Amino acid sequence: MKLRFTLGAALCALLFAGAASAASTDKGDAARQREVEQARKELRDARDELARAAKELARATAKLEPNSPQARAFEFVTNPRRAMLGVGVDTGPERNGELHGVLITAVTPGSGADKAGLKSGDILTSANGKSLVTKKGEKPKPERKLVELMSTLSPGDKVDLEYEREGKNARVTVIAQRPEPMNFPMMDLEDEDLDAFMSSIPPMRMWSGDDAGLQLAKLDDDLASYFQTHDGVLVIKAAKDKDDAVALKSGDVIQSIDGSTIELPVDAMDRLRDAGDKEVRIEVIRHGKHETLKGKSPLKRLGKRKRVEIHGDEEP
Amino acid sequence: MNPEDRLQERLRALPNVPPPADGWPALESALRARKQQRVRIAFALAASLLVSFSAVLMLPKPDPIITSAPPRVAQAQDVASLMARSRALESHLAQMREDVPVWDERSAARAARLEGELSLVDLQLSGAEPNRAQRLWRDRVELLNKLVRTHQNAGLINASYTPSTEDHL
Repeated sequence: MKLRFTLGAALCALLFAGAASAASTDKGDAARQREVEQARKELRDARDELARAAKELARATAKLEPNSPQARAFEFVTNPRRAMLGVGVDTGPERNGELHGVLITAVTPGSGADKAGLKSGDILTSANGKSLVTKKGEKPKPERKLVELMSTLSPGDKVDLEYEREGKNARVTVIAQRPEPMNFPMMDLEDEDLDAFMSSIPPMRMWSGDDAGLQLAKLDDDLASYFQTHDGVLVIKAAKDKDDAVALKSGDVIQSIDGSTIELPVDAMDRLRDAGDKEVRIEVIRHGKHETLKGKSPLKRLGKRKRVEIHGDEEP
Repeated sequence: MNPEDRLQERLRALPNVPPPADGWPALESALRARKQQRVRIAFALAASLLVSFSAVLMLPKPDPIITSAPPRVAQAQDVASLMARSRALESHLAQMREDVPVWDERSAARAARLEGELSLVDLQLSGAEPNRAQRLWRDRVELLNKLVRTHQNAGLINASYTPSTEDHL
Protein backbone atom coordinates (compact mmCIF):
# COMPACT_ATOMS: atom_id res chain seq x y z
CA MET A 1 0.00 0.00 0.00
CA LYS A 2 2.88 2.30 0.91
CA LEU A 3 4.54 1.48 -2.38
CA ARG A 4 1.30 2.13 -4.26
CA PHE A 5 0.94 5.46 -2.51
CA THR A 6 4.52 6.34 -3.38
CA LEU A 7 3.88 5.49 -7.01
CA GLY A 8 0.69 7.53 -7.04
CA ALA A 9 2.35 10.51 -5.41
CA ALA A 10 5.27 10.37 -7.78
CA LEU A 11 2.94 10.12 -10.75
CA CYS A 12 1.00 13.15 -9.51
CA ALA A 13 4.26 15.06 -9.18
CA LEU A 14 5.11 13.98 -12.70
CA LEU A 15 1.77 15.21 -14.01
CA PHE A 16 2.02 18.58 -12.29
CA ALA A 17 5.64 19.05 -13.27
CA GLY A 18 4.80 18.08 -16.83
CA ALA A 19 1.88 20.49 -16.97
CA ALA A 20 4.09 23.28 -15.65
CA SER A 21 6.78 22.46 -18.16
CA ALA A 22 4.40 22.34 -21.13
CA ALA A 23 2.62 25.56 -20.13
CA SER A 24 5.75 27.63 -19.74
CA THR A 25 7.72 26.76 -22.82
CA ASP A 26 6.13 29.53 -24.89
CA LYS A 27 7.02 32.30 -22.45
CA GLY A 28 10.55 33.37 -23.00
CA ASP A 29 11.38 35.56 -19.98
CA ALA A 30 14.02 34.62 -17.46
CA ALA A 31 11.64 34.01 -14.58
CA ARG A 32 9.65 31.62 -16.66
CA GLN A 33 12.82 29.92 -17.76
CA ARG A 34 13.81 29.37 -14.13
CA GLU A 35 10.37 27.91 -13.44
CA VAL A 36 10.78 25.56 -16.37
CA GLU A 37 14.18 24.45 -15.12
CA GLN A 38 12.76 23.87 -11.65
CA ALA A 39 9.84 21.92 -13.11
CA ARG A 40 12.27 19.81 -15.13
CA LYS A 41 14.30 19.08 -12.04
CA GLU A 42 11.16 18.02 -10.19
CA LEU A 43 10.23 15.89 -13.16
CA ARG A 44 13.59 14.13 -13.10
CA ASP A 45 13.35 13.60 -9.35
CA ALA A 46 9.81 12.23 -9.69
CA ARG A 47 10.91 9.90 -12.46
CA ASP A 48 13.82 8.63 -10.38
CA GLU A 49 11.44 8.04 -7.50
CA LEU A 50 9.14 6.12 -9.80
CA ALA A 51 12.07 4.07 -11.04
CA ARG A 52 13.00 3.10 -7.49
CA ALA A 53 9.37 2.25 -6.68
CA ALA A 54 8.99 0.19 -9.86
CA LYS A 55 12.10 -1.82 -9.03
CA GLU A 56 10.71 -2.53 -5.60
CA LEU A 57 7.42 -3.58 -7.15
CA ALA A 58 9.30 -5.80 -9.61
CA ARG A 59 11.06 -7.60 -6.79
CA ALA A 60 7.81 -8.07 -4.86
CA THR A 61 5.96 -9.39 -7.93
CA ALA A 62 8.75 -11.81 -8.78
CA LYS A 63 8.62 -13.12 -5.22
CA LEU A 64 4.85 -13.60 -5.29
CA GLU A 65 4.56 -15.04 -8.78
CA PRO A 66 7.95 -16.18 -10.03
CA ASN A 67 8.16 -16.68 -13.81
CA SER A 68 4.73 -15.13 -14.30
CA PRO A 69 4.23 -12.86 -17.34
CA GLN A 70 3.87 -9.83 -15.08
CA ALA A 71 7.07 -10.65 -13.20
CA ARG A 72 8.86 -10.93 -16.56
CA ALA A 73 7.48 -7.55 -17.60
CA PHE A 74 8.50 -5.86 -14.36
CA GLU A 75 11.94 -7.40 -14.58
CA PHE A 76 12.28 -6.26 -18.17
CA VAL A 77 11.27 -2.69 -17.53
CA THR A 78 13.52 -2.29 -14.51
CA ASN A 79 16.57 -3.84 -16.15
CA PRO A 80 17.93 -1.52 -18.86
CA ARG A 81 20.24 -4.25 -20.19
CA ARG A 82 17.34 -6.45 -21.25
CA ALA A 83 16.17 -6.68 -24.85
CA MET A 84 13.52 -8.62 -26.73
CA LEU A 85 12.85 -10.24 -30.08
CA GLY A 86 9.36 -8.74 -30.28
CA VAL A 87 7.11 -11.78 -30.46
CA GLY A 88 4.23 -13.21 -28.45
CA VAL A 89 4.30 -17.02 -28.53
CA ASP A 90 2.25 -20.11 -27.76
CA THR A 91 2.66 -23.85 -28.09
CA GLY A 92 3.08 -25.01 -31.67
CA PRO A 93 0.95 -27.69 -33.36
CA GLU A 94 1.03 -31.31 -32.23
CA ARG A 95 2.36 -33.69 -34.86
CA ASN A 96 3.09 -37.41 -34.41
CA GLY A 97 3.22 -37.15 -30.63
CA GLU A 98 5.50 -34.14 -30.75
CA LEU A 99 4.97 -30.47 -29.97
CA HIS A 100 6.19 -29.01 -33.20
CA GLY A 101 7.88 -25.74 -32.34
CA VAL A 102 6.54 -22.43 -31.13
CA LEU A 103 3.64 -20.60 -32.71
CA ILE A 104 4.12 -16.84 -33.13
CA THR A 105 0.83 -15.28 -32.03
CA ALA A 106 1.97 -11.65 -32.22
CA VAL A 107 4.79 -9.66 -33.77
CA THR A 108 5.50 -6.29 -32.18
CA PRO A 109 5.53 -3.56 -34.84
CA GLY A 110 8.96 -1.98 -35.16
CA SER A 111 10.66 -4.82 -33.24
CA GLY A 112 13.62 -6.88 -34.41
CA ALA A 113 11.24 -9.71 -35.35
CA ASP A 114 9.13 -7.31 -37.40
CA LYS A 115 12.15 -5.89 -39.21
CA ALA A 116 13.40 -9.41 -39.94
CA GLY A 117 10.07 -10.21 -41.62
CA LEU A 118 8.56 -12.65 -39.14
CA LYS A 119 4.76 -12.77 -39.07
CA SER A 120 2.02 -13.96 -36.76
CA GLY A 121 1.23 -17.55 -37.66
CA ASP A 122 4.87 -18.52 -38.34
CA ILE A 123 6.12 -21.56 -36.41
CA LEU A 124 9.60 -21.28 -34.94
CA THR A 125 11.37 -24.64 -35.02
CA SER A 126 14.82 -23.72 -33.70
CA ALA A 127 16.62 -20.84 -32.00
CA ASN A 128 20.40 -20.42 -32.12
CA GLY A 129 20.70 -24.03 -33.30
CA LYS A 130 18.61 -25.47 -30.46
CA SER A 131 15.53 -27.39 -31.54
CA LEU A 132 12.17 -26.12 -30.37
CA VAL A 133 10.48 -29.46 -31.13
CA THR A 134 9.81 -31.63 -28.07
CA LYS A 135 7.99 -34.84 -27.31
CA LYS A 136 4.54 -34.39 -25.83
CA GLY A 137 4.77 -34.18 -22.04
CA GLU A 138 8.50 -33.40 -22.14
CA LYS A 139 9.62 -30.40 -20.14
CA PRO A 140 10.43 -27.65 -20.67
CA LYS A 141 7.84 -27.06 -23.38
CA PRO A 142 9.05 -25.44 -26.62
CA GLU A 143 7.66 -21.99 -25.83
CA ARG A 144 9.23 -22.13 -22.39
CA LYS A 145 12.60 -22.85 -24.02
CA LEU A 146 12.21 -19.77 -26.20
CA VAL A 147 11.03 -17.57 -23.33
CA GLU A 148 14.13 -18.61 -21.35
CA LEU A 149 16.33 -17.70 -24.29
CA MET A 150 14.57 -14.36 -24.70
CA SER A 151 15.10 -13.55 -21.02
CA THR A 152 18.88 -13.51 -21.51
CA LEU A 153 19.00 -11.14 -24.49
CA SER A 154 20.76 -7.80 -24.48
CA PRO A 155 20.28 -5.03 -27.06
CA GLY A 156 22.09 -5.90 -30.28
CA ASP A 157 22.24 -9.67 -29.66
CA LYS A 158 21.60 -11.70 -32.80
CA VAL A 159 19.33 -14.73 -32.70
CA ASP A 160 19.26 -17.21 -35.57
CA LEU A 161 15.81 -18.63 -36.03
CA GLU A 162 14.43 -21.37 -38.24
CA TYR A 163 10.75 -21.16 -38.95
CA GLU A 164 7.95 -22.67 -40.95
CA ARG A 165 5.44 -20.64 -42.94
CA GLU A 166 2.68 -22.26 -44.97
CA GLY A 167 4.57 -25.54 -45.05
CA LYS A 168 7.88 -24.03 -46.18
CA ASN A 169 11.01 -23.73 -44.02
CA ALA A 170 13.13 -20.61 -43.81
CA ARG A 171 15.84 -18.99 -41.69
CA VAL A 172 16.18 -15.51 -40.37
CA THR A 173 18.45 -13.56 -38.02
CA VAL A 174 16.70 -11.26 -35.58
CA ILE A 175 18.50 -8.46 -33.75
CA ALA A 176 17.22 -8.07 -30.20
CA GLN A 177 16.10 -4.56 -29.33
CA ARG A 178 15.12 -2.69 -26.25
CA PRO A 179 12.09 -0.68 -27.27
CA GLU A 180 11.80 2.90 -26.19
CA PRO A 181 10.06 4.31 -24.34
CA MET A 182 10.15 1.89 -21.47
CA ASN A 183 9.03 4.46 -19.00
CA PHE A 184 8.33 3.46 -15.45
CA PRO A 185 4.90 4.96 -14.92
CA MET A 186 3.48 2.35 -17.28
CA MET A 187 1.19 0.66 -14.85
CA ASP A 188 -2.45 0.73 -13.98
CA LEU A 189 -2.55 2.13 -10.48
CA GLU A 190 -6.31 1.66 -10.30
CA ASP A 191 -5.96 -2.06 -10.75
CA GLU A 192 -5.97 -3.58 -7.29
CA ASP A 193 -4.60 -6.90 -8.53
CA LEU A 194 -2.05 -5.42 -10.92
CA ASP A 195 -3.05 -8.42 -13.00
CA ALA A 196 -1.44 -7.08 -16.12
CA PHE A 197 1.35 -4.60 -16.47
CA MET A 198 0.38 -1.99 -18.97
CA SER A 199 -0.04 1.68 -19.54
CA SER A 200 -3.25 3.31 -18.47
CA ILE A 201 -2.41 6.94 -19.12
CA PRO A 202 -1.12 7.93 -22.54
CA PRO A 203 1.76 10.39 -22.51
CA MET A 204 0.97 13.96 -23.48
CA ARG A 205 2.55 15.20 -26.65
CA MET A 206 5.28 17.78 -26.33
CA TRP A 207 4.92 19.17 -29.81
CA SER A 208 3.74 22.69 -30.35
CA GLY A 209 1.67 24.10 -33.20
CA ASP A 210 3.01 23.28 -36.63
CA ASP A 211 6.34 22.03 -35.33
CA ALA A 212 6.36 18.45 -36.50
CA GLY A 213 10.16 18.17 -36.48
CA LEU A 214 11.90 16.42 -39.33
CA GLN A 215 9.54 15.69 -42.23
CA LEU A 216 10.26 13.14 -44.91
CA ALA A 217 8.34 12.30 -48.09
CA LYS A 218 8.21 9.34 -50.40
CA LEU A 219 9.49 10.09 -53.89
CA ASP A 220 6.57 9.91 -56.28
CA ASP A 221 7.14 9.77 -60.05
CA ASP A 222 7.21 13.57 -60.51
CA LEU A 223 9.65 14.14 -57.69
CA ALA A 224 11.77 11.20 -58.80
CA SER A 225 11.93 12.73 -62.26
CA TYR A 226 12.95 16.12 -60.90
CA PHE A 227 15.61 14.71 -58.56
CA GLN A 228 16.67 12.19 -61.21
CA THR A 229 16.46 9.27 -58.80
CA HIS A 230 13.83 6.87 -57.58
CA ASP A 231 15.98 5.82 -54.64
CA GLY A 232 15.62 7.45 -51.28
CA VAL A 233 13.26 9.79 -49.43
CA LEU A 234 12.94 13.54 -49.73
CA VAL A 235 13.59 15.86 -46.80
CA ILE A 236 10.67 18.30 -46.73
CA LYS A 237 11.72 20.00 -43.54
CA ALA A 238 14.94 19.54 -41.60
CA ALA A 239 14.97 19.62 -37.80
CA LYS A 240 17.33 22.14 -36.20
CA ASP A 241 17.21 21.18 -32.55
CA LYS A 242 20.82 20.20 -32.00
CA ASP A 243 24.06 21.90 -33.03
CA ASP A 244 25.90 18.60 -33.42
CA ALA A 245 23.10 16.97 -35.41
CA VAL A 246 23.71 15.85 -38.96
CA ALA A 247 23.12 18.88 -41.20
CA LEU A 248 20.21 17.78 -43.35
CA LYS A 249 18.52 20.42 -45.50
CA SER A 250 15.12 20.69 -47.10
CA GLY A 251 15.41 19.25 -50.59
CA ASP A 252 18.00 16.62 -49.69
CA VAL A 253 17.25 13.11 -50.89
CA ILE A 254 18.39 10.60 -48.25
CA GLN A 255 19.63 7.49 -50.00
CA SER A 256 21.19 5.55 -47.15
CA ILE A 257 21.74 5.73 -43.41
CA ASP A 258 24.75 3.95 -41.93
CA GLY A 259 25.07 1.91 -45.11
CA SER A 260 21.45 0.73 -45.23
CA THR A 261 19.50 1.71 -48.31
CA ILE A 262 16.46 3.85 -47.53
CA GLU A 263 13.26 3.50 -49.52
CA LEU A 264 10.50 4.59 -47.14
CA PRO A 265 10.08 7.66 -44.93
CA VAL A 266 9.07 5.40 -42.03
CA ASP A 267 12.26 3.32 -42.38
CA ALA A 268 14.45 6.44 -42.47
CA MET A 269 12.86 7.75 -39.29
CA ASP A 270 13.29 4.34 -37.61
CA ARG A 271 16.99 4.28 -38.53
CA LEU A 272 17.52 7.75 -37.11
CA ARG A 273 15.60 6.81 -33.99
CA ASP A 274 17.59 3.60 -33.49
CA ALA A 275 20.83 5.59 -33.76
CA GLY A 276 20.02 7.31 -30.47
CA ASP A 277 22.96 9.50 -29.49
CA LYS A 278 25.44 7.78 -31.79
CA GLU A 279 26.86 9.48 -34.84
CA VAL A 280 25.15 8.57 -38.10
CA ARG A 281 26.44 8.63 -41.66
CA ILE A 282 23.88 9.71 -44.21
CA GLU A 283 24.32 9.58 -47.97
CA VAL A 284 22.26 12.28 -49.68
CA ILE A 285 21.78 13.86 -53.07
CA ARG A 286 21.98 17.64 -52.70
CA HIS A 287 21.68 19.91 -55.74
CA GLY A 288 22.22 16.90 -57.96
CA LYS A 289 25.45 15.80 -56.27
CA HIS A 290 26.13 12.93 -53.90
CA GLU A 291 27.27 14.01 -50.46
CA THR A 292 28.05 12.22 -47.20
CA LEU A 293 26.83 13.86 -44.00
CA LYS A 294 27.98 12.92 -40.53
CA GLY A 295 26.64 13.92 -37.15
CA LYS A 296 24.23 12.88 -34.44
CA SER A 297 20.68 11.92 -35.22
CA PRO A 298 18.57 15.03 -35.74
CA LEU A 299 15.72 13.41 -33.84
CA LYS A 300 16.52 15.04 -30.55
CA ARG A 301 13.20 14.19 -28.97
CA LEU A 302 13.59 10.55 -29.84
CA GLY A 303 17.07 10.19 -28.37
CA LYS A 304 17.12 7.16 -26.09
CA ARG A 305 18.22 8.84 -22.88
CA LYS A 306 16.81 12.25 -23.58
CA ARG A 307 13.14 11.63 -24.03
CA VAL A 308 10.99 13.01 -21.26
CA GLU A 309 7.56 11.47 -21.10
CA ILE A 310 4.91 13.69 -19.59
CA HIS A 311 1.63 12.05 -18.87
CA GLY A 312 -1.69 13.54 -19.83
CA ASP A 313 -4.36 13.22 -22.44
CA GLU A 314 -3.59 12.74 -26.08
CA GLU A 315 -5.28 11.56 -29.21
CA PRO A 316 -3.88 11.80 -32.69
CA MET B 1 -89.01 16.24 26.79
CA ASN B 2 -85.71 15.63 25.24
CA PRO B 3 -85.00 12.56 22.97
CA GLU B 4 -83.08 10.72 25.73
CA ASP B 5 -86.00 10.91 28.16
CA ARG B 6 -88.38 9.72 25.46
CA LEU B 7 -86.19 6.66 24.73
CA GLN B 8 -86.08 5.72 28.44
CA GLU B 9 -89.87 6.02 28.70
CA ARG B 10 -90.45 3.73 25.67
CA LEU B 11 -88.00 1.10 27.06
CA ARG B 12 -89.85 1.07 30.38
CA ALA B 13 -93.09 0.50 28.44
CA LEU B 14 -91.84 -2.81 26.93
CA PRO B 15 -93.50 -6.04 28.32
CA ASN B 16 -91.50 -8.40 30.64
CA VAL B 17 -90.43 -11.59 28.74
CA PRO B 18 -88.52 -14.41 30.60
CA PRO B 19 -85.29 -15.71 28.85
CA PRO B 20 -85.34 -19.24 27.34
CA ALA B 21 -83.83 -21.89 29.67
CA ASP B 22 -81.32 -23.25 27.02
CA GLY B 23 -80.26 -19.78 25.74
CA TRP B 24 -76.56 -19.90 26.73
CA PRO B 25 -75.89 -23.52 25.65
CA ALA B 26 -77.56 -22.75 22.29
CA LEU B 27 -75.39 -19.67 21.80
CA GLU B 28 -72.26 -21.68 22.75
CA SER B 29 -72.97 -24.45 20.24
CA ALA B 30 -73.67 -21.90 17.50
CA LEU B 31 -70.31 -20.20 18.13
CA ARG B 32 -68.47 -23.59 18.13
CA ALA B 33 -70.07 -24.49 14.80
CA ARG B 34 -68.87 -21.23 13.20
CA LYS B 35 -65.34 -21.78 14.58
CA GLN B 36 -65.16 -25.31 13.13
CA GLN B 37 -66.30 -23.97 9.79
CA ARG B 38 -63.44 -21.38 9.76
CA VAL B 39 -60.89 -24.15 10.56
CA ARG B 40 -62.23 -26.29 7.71
CA ILE B 41 -61.97 -23.36 5.29
CA ALA B 42 -58.39 -22.71 6.43
CA PHE B 43 -57.51 -26.40 5.93
CA ALA B 44 -59.15 -26.41 2.52
CA LEU B 45 -57.21 -23.31 1.46
CA ALA B 46 -53.92 -24.78 2.70
CA ALA B 47 -54.59 -28.07 0.93
CA SER B 48 -55.44 -26.34 -2.33
CA LEU B 49 -52.26 -24.29 -2.14
CA LEU B 50 -50.23 -27.43 -1.46
CA VAL B 51 -51.81 -29.21 -4.39
CA SER B 52 -51.19 -26.25 -6.67
CA PHE B 53 -47.55 -25.96 -5.60
CA SER B 54 -47.00 -29.70 -6.01
CA ALA B 55 -48.56 -29.60 -9.44
CA VAL B 56 -46.17 -26.83 -10.50
CA LEU B 57 -43.23 -28.83 -9.20
CA MET B 58 -44.38 -31.96 -10.98
CA LEU B 59 -44.77 -30.23 -14.32
CA PRO B 60 -42.10 -31.29 -16.85
CA LYS B 61 -39.22 -28.78 -16.84
CA PRO B 62 -38.79 -26.83 -20.07
CA ASP B 63 -35.37 -26.88 -21.77
CA PRO B 64 -33.18 -24.15 -20.31
CA ILE B 65 -32.94 -21.12 -22.54
CA ILE B 66 -29.30 -20.54 -23.41
CA THR B 67 -28.75 -16.79 -23.32
CA SER B 68 -24.96 -16.87 -23.44
CA ALA B 69 -22.09 -19.30 -23.68
CA PRO B 70 -20.45 -20.45 -20.45
CA PRO B 71 -17.88 -17.89 -19.24
CA ARG B 72 -14.80 -19.92 -20.16
CA VAL B 73 -16.08 -20.75 -23.63
CA ALA B 74 -17.10 -17.13 -24.21
CA GLN B 75 -13.69 -16.01 -23.01
CA ALA B 76 -11.89 -18.38 -25.35
CA GLN B 77 -14.09 -17.22 -28.25
CA ASP B 78 -13.37 -13.61 -27.39
CA VAL B 79 -9.60 -14.24 -27.27
CA ALA B 80 -9.72 -16.10 -30.59
CA SER B 81 -11.62 -13.21 -32.15
CA LEU B 82 -9.17 -10.65 -30.72
CA MET B 83 -6.21 -12.69 -31.98
CA ALA B 84 -7.67 -12.77 -35.48
CA ARG B 85 -8.28 -9.03 -35.34
CA SER B 86 -4.75 -8.43 -34.07
CA ARG B 87 -3.26 -10.45 -36.92
CA ALA B 88 -5.32 -8.55 -39.49
CA LEU B 89 -4.24 -5.21 -38.01
CA GLU B 90 -0.57 -6.27 -38.07
CA SER B 91 -0.88 -7.09 -41.74
CA HIS B 92 -2.73 -3.84 -42.47
CA LEU B 93 -0.10 -1.85 -40.61
CA ALA B 94 2.75 -3.42 -42.56
CA GLN B 95 1.08 -2.29 -45.79
CA MET B 96 0.43 1.19 -44.40
CA ARG B 97 4.08 1.69 -43.48
CA GLU B 98 4.94 1.27 -47.14
CA ASP B 99 2.20 3.59 -48.34
CA VAL B 100 2.68 6.53 -45.96
CA PRO B 101 3.56 9.45 -48.30
CA VAL B 102 4.84 11.85 -45.64
CA TRP B 103 6.17 10.90 -42.22
CA ASP B 104 7.20 13.42 -39.61
CA GLU B 105 9.07 13.33 -36.34
CA ARG B 106 5.94 13.92 -34.30
CA SER B 107 4.10 10.97 -35.82
CA ALA B 108 7.23 8.85 -35.48
CA ALA B 109 7.47 9.73 -31.78
CA ARG B 110 3.88 8.71 -31.21
CA ALA B 111 4.33 5.49 -33.17
CA ALA B 112 7.49 4.68 -31.20
CA ARG B 113 5.66 5.11 -27.94
CA LEU B 114 2.77 2.91 -29.03
CA GLU B 115 5.23 0.28 -30.23
CA GLY B 116 6.93 0.43 -26.83
CA GLU B 117 3.63 -0.19 -25.09
CA LEU B 118 2.82 -3.01 -27.49
CA SER B 119 6.14 -4.66 -26.77
CA LEU B 120 5.30 -4.71 -23.09
CA VAL B 121 1.92 -6.30 -23.80
CA ASP B 122 3.52 -8.86 -26.12
CA LEU B 123 6.09 -9.73 -23.48
CA GLN B 124 3.24 -10.83 -21.21
CA LEU B 125 1.22 -12.75 -23.79
CA SER B 126 3.33 -15.88 -23.54
CA GLY B 127 1.95 -18.10 -20.81
CA ALA B 128 -0.71 -15.66 -19.63
CA GLU B 129 -3.71 -17.01 -17.70
CA PRO B 130 -7.03 -16.87 -19.61
CA ASN B 131 -8.32 -13.79 -17.78
CA ARG B 132 -5.09 -11.94 -18.26
CA ALA B 133 -4.77 -13.11 -21.84
CA GLN B 134 -8.18 -11.70 -22.67
CA ARG B 135 -7.26 -8.33 -21.22
CA LEU B 136 -3.85 -8.29 -22.89
CA TRP B 137 -5.25 -9.17 -26.30
CA ARG B 138 -7.91 -6.49 -25.96
CA ASP B 139 -5.24 -3.98 -25.07
CA ARG B 140 -3.10 -5.14 -27.98
CA VAL B 141 -5.91 -4.62 -30.48
CA GLU B 142 -6.59 -1.16 -29.05
CA LEU B 143 -2.93 -0.16 -29.33
CA LEU B 144 -2.70 -1.52 -32.87
CA ASN B 145 -5.77 0.50 -33.80
CA LYS B 146 -4.09 3.63 -32.44
CA LEU B 147 -0.95 2.82 -34.40
CA VAL B 148 -2.93 2.42 -37.59
CA ARG B 149 -4.68 5.75 -36.95
CA THR B 150 -1.30 7.42 -36.37
CA HIS B 151 -0.16 6.30 -39.82
CA GLN B 152 -3.46 7.31 -41.40
CA ASN B 153 -3.41 10.74 -39.76
CA ALA B 154 0.20 11.39 -40.74
CA GLY B 155 -0.87 11.01 -44.37
CA LEU B 156 -3.95 13.20 -43.91
CA ILE B 157 -2.24 15.95 -41.91
CA ASN B 158 0.56 16.23 -44.38
CA ALA B 159 -1.64 15.86 -47.44
CA SER B 160 -2.29 19.60 -47.40
CA TYR B 161 1.39 20.13 -48.03
CA THR B 162 2.52 18.77 -51.34
CA PRO B 163 6.24 19.03 -51.89
CA SER B 164 6.97 20.65 -55.20
CA THR B 165 10.04 21.31 -57.25
CA GLU B 166 9.54 25.07 -56.71
CA ASP B 167 9.93 24.55 -52.96
CA HIS B 168 13.25 22.93 -53.54
CA LEU B 169 14.46 25.78 -55.74
